Amino acid sequence: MDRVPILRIGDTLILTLQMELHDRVALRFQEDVLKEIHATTARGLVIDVSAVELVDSFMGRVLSDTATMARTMGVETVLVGIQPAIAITLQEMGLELRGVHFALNLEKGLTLLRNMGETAYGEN
Amino acid sequence: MEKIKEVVIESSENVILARQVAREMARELGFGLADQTRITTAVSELSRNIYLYAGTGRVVVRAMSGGVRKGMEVVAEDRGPGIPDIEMAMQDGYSTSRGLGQGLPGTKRLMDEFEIKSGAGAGTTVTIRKWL
Amino acid sequence: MTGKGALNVSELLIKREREIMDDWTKAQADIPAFKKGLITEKQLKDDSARFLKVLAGAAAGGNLEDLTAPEYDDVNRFLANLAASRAAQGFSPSETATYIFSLKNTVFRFLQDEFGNRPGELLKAAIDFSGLMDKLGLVVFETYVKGREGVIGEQQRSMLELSTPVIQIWEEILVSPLIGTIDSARARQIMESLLEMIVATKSSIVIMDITGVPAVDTEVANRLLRTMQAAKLMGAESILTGIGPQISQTIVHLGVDLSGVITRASLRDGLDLAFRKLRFKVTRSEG
Repeated sequence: MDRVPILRIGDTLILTLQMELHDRVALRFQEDVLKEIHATTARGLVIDVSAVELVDSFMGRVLSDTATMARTMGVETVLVGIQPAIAITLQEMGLELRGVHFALNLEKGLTLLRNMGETAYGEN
Repeated sequence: MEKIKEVVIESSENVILARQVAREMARELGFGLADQTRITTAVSELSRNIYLYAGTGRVVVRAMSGGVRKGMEVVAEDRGPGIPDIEMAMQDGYSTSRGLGQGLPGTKRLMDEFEIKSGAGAGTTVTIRKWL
Repeated sequence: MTGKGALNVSELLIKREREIMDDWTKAQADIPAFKKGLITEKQLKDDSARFLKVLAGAAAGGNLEDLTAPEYDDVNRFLANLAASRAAQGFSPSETATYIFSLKNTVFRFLQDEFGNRPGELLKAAIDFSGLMDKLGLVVFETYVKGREGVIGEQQRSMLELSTPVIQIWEEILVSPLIGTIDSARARQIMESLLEMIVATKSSIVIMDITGVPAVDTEVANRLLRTMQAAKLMGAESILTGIGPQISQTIVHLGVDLSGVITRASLRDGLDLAFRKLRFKVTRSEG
């Protein structure tokens, strides 16, 4: 199973990253996400990294690039579930994740997207 | 008493193996989760540099538990094209480019000790250490 | 959070337990940690089957939030044993938590399958289940911490609690009253402690009060900034308070860039702002 599954709820896409991202898989998920955005009317993207043990500069760039690419298609990205140890490491390395918003968990991430006016959750 | 493990770096799969080996050793030595993550991330950066720019090299992970101080050392070396201007590579702005030496300044900040030997056409050796 | 969303999740777990188990087992094969050979396939399967069973049982009543409720006794016991046995087998707390989290994608897929045409319900169920998994993952971490591991390590923990308290002053609001000098070691402790508290309390605002910090130089300022930036990665906004006239002059003279940092003169002002941001209102009751 080389692909990361993408869950779709209304106009929000949810991606839960769970395994060690090989370069191949990482670029694959980027491609899949962009294709999915293009094919649907997605306005928000949530990437759940709560199970991710390591974010190095490569992974950081993939995430950042994905968010920036998504933004060109009108989609805002929220990263949720960054573990404390990883937040510390990212900070110390000076790794900036540009183009990404942050929230503690899925629920807060979805609320953030809604408050940004990107998605229409809770309004039905 | 020293424990040494070596990982040959030739592919992105090897990078993952190097991370696992490093994390395991860091854990066994007794580093907390935050330090384990720092060490593993540093190893990931160095291994990736080897794979991307030299094609092949090796990462040697060493537990230093003999003396008064316990710690961990990682030596990442390759016989690749080398870094012609180390000073520039170690500058912060440089690490945001997609060129050689990606992530080096960041790696240095994560560790207690950081040494780099490199030159154009002379390969690269980076040594990092973290103490408990 | 009980109600329809929660019931949907528990019904799903029971109704399609078999399929979920199969799917989850397949997904686990992709997790490199489990290929290490530290655990037999049979044990992995037994653990997974048991976990699904106790989870379905616990969630049956529609409670996906309160882990202290009696229906979660079996789940908590299972997780504690799992954490202990995995630790003994050489797995890190993250690896064990990842094993638990790996159920997320599987269940999400099934939720999508069942409720794909009812986005409102699907959304609720996904949020509730994700929240539950996050909590269970925390239980795993906490069990390890009680043992040996943890972001800051057992030995430092008690010292830490004394010297750098982080207080949850209200729902969603943490206050870190800093007193004394902030050297790099202390700054690190503060950062680690704060981040752990953000996770534990799900706070979205952190107030760092430096009234008790005698001197702020560029180093200290940078350390504070770093902590605030790390908190941001965890979805929490920071407010820096307790900046007296002397420190404000120092900061400007040193050229410290505080743009992007919200500052207030007093803790009280910071709290005021926090309440407003969270749209909390304090009213006095009659009589």
